[in-house]
Amino acid sequence: MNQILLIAVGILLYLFLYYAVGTLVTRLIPAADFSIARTFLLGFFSYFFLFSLVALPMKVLLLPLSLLANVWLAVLVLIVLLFFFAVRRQVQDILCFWKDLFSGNRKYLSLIFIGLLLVQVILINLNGEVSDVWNQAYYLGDVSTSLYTNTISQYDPFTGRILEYLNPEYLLETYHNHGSVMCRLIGLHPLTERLTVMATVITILYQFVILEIARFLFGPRQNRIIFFVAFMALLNLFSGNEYTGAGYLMFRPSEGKTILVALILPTLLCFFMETIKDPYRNCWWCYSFLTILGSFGLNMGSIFMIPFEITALYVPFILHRKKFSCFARFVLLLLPCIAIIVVYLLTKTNYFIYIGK
Amino acid sequence: MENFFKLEDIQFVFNMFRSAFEGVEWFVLAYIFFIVVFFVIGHQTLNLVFVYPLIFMAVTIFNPFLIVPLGELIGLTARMRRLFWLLPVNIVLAYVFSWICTAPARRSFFTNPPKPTTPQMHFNRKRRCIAAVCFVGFILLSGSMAKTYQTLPQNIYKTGDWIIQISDLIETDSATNGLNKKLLYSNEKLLELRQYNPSLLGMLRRSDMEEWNPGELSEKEIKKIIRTQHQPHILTLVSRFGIRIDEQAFRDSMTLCKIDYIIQETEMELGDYFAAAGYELLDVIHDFEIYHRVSAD
Repeated sequence: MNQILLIAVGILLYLFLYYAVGTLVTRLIPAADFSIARTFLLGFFSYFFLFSLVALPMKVLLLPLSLLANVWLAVLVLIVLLFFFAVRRQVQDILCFWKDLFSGNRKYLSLIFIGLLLVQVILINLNGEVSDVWNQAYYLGDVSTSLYTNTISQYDPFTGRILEYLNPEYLLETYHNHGSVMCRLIGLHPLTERLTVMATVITILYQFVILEIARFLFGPRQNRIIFFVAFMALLNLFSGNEYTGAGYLMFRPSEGKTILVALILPTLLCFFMETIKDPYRNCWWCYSFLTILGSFGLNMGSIFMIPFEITALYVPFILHRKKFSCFARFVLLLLPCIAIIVVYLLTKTNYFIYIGK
Repeated sequence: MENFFKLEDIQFVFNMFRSAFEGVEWFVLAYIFFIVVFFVIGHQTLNLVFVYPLIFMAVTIFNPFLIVPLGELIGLTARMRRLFWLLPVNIVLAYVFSWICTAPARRSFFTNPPKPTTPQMHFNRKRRCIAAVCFVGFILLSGSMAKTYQTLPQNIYKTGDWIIQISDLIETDSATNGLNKKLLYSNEKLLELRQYNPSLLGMLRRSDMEEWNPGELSEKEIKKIIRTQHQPHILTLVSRFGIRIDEQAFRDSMTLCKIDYIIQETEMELGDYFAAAGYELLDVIHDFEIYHRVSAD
C-alpha cells in the first residue's frame, strides 16, 4: 500500500515539477499562444538539462549520491518557490483555464482525451514482460546499485563490484542517476520508480507531443485532433515490433531510447512545424535548442539521431524557402550535438574517469 | 569505384529496413503512398514537414553508400535500425485517416448560402462512418498487436514473484548463518535479482554470461582454462555450461571468490556436484535450485 501511495505521489510530483519548470521557461521565452502540453514538454527537457548540469560534475568528481540528492532537493525547492512567485498573480487565470477545459463543448473532447490517455497508461502498465533483459539489467541495475552504494554509477550493475573507471558509454547520461536521486528523496523502490512512475509519465508526455502535433496539423478543429490522438493510439497498439518506436513505448516505456523515439524526435518535429509557420520567431528555435540540450542526459543515442533529424527537417526547408538567414540558427542547433560528440569520443577512447578504489 | 558502391551495403540497409518494420509492412506502404499523394497535391506545409525531409533522408541518411561507411566509422552499424525512427509513419497515417474521417460535406453551389444540402450531409455521415470502419479494419488486419506479447505483472515491482522469493530466502539465510550475499548464477532470468535487491552480489559479468563462448571443449582445454586462474571463466564453465570441472578447482575458485550461494537451473542436475563442493540445497524456487555454503565447523 505504501508503494502504491508513493507511486501516485511520484507521478504527480514529476508532472508538477515539469509543469513548474515549463512555466518558468515559457515566462522567459514566451510563445504567441499558450499550450499546456507544450509547457509540460518544455519543462521536461529543461528539467533534465538542469539536472545534467548539476549531476554531471558530481558524477565525474565521484561524489556521493547523497550529496547530489541534497543539492538537487535544494534546486527543486528553489524551482517550486520561483514557480509560485511567478504565478502568484495568475492563480485565478490558471484556475479559469483549467475550468474552461472542462466546460461547454470542450469538456467532451477533454474527457475523451483523458479517457484515451488513461487507457494507454493502463495498457502500458499492465505489462510485466521484459523485452530486453540485458539492457534492462544495466539501466535498472544502475539505478538500484547507485542507490544501494550511495554512489553515482561507480559500480557494475551486473555484479555489484566497483568499476575500474566510469563507463564511458553512459558517462554523459544522467537519466538513471536522476532515478536514483528521486528514489532516495521520495523512498520509492527503483523498480517502481522506473517501471511504473516513469513509464506513466513518459506515456502522458507522449500524448502531449501527439496533441501538439495534432494542434499544428488541424488547428482549432478539436474533433480532428481527437480522431488523430485515437488513431495514433490504435496504430501504436498495432505496431508490435520490438524495433519500432511504438514497440519501445509498449515494452520499454521508461528507457532512454524510448524517450528518444517517443519524446525527443517528435518534439523536435513539433517545434520544426511551428518554425515553418514563422521562421523568424525566436521562441521556436529556443525551444528546439532547450529540447536538444536536455536530450543528451536522457539518452546518448541523441547525439547521432538529433543531427540527422534536424538536418533532414531544416536543410530542405531552408533551401526551399531560401531562408538562408535561418541557416545560422540551424547551425546553432547543431552546435551542442557536435560538442557532445567530441566529448563522447574523447571519453570513450582517451580520457577515462578512474575510480581508484 | 567498385569499392564505393557495394552490393552488400544495399543488402545491409534493406535488411535493417525489413526488420525495423517487420509486422507493419502495410503501414509503411500506406505511408509511402500518402507521401506521394502529398507531393502530387502540392500542399506546401505537408511537403515541408513530410515529403522533403523524406526525400532528403532517402538521398543521405538512407543512402547505403553513405550511411554504411559512416556508420562503421562512428560505431552506428549495430544501431542502424534506429535511423528508421526518423520516419513519421504512424503520424502520417493518423493524419490522413483523421482528415478523411472528419472531412466536411460538400457545399452546393445552387443554394444560397452554399451550405451542404441534406442529402449531401447524409452521404457525408455515411462516408465518414465507412471510412472510420475501413481505417480501423486496416489497422487491425495489417498491423501486429503488441498486447499479444505482453504478460500481466505479478506484483508492484513488475518482476517475477519467484525473484522476490529467492531474494527473501537468501536475505533470511544470510542473516541467520552470517554468509556473504555473493551469488554464482548465469541464467539471464536471474538478472532481475540485483535490480530488485542490489545488496546481492553477482560473480559473473555480462561478458561471461552472454558473450564468452569457448565452444566444445576437450578435457585438455578445460584444464587450460583452469590453469589461467581466470575465475569468472572457470565458474562460467560450471554455471553456464554445466561442465563438471575438477572438484577441488571448483571449490578453490568458489573460496577465492568468496561465493556463498549458487543459483542453478534444476535441469542441469548439478546437486551432487555442489554437495561434494560443500554446498547444501536450500530450496527449489521456480526452475532454480538455491544452494548455500555449508560452514566448515
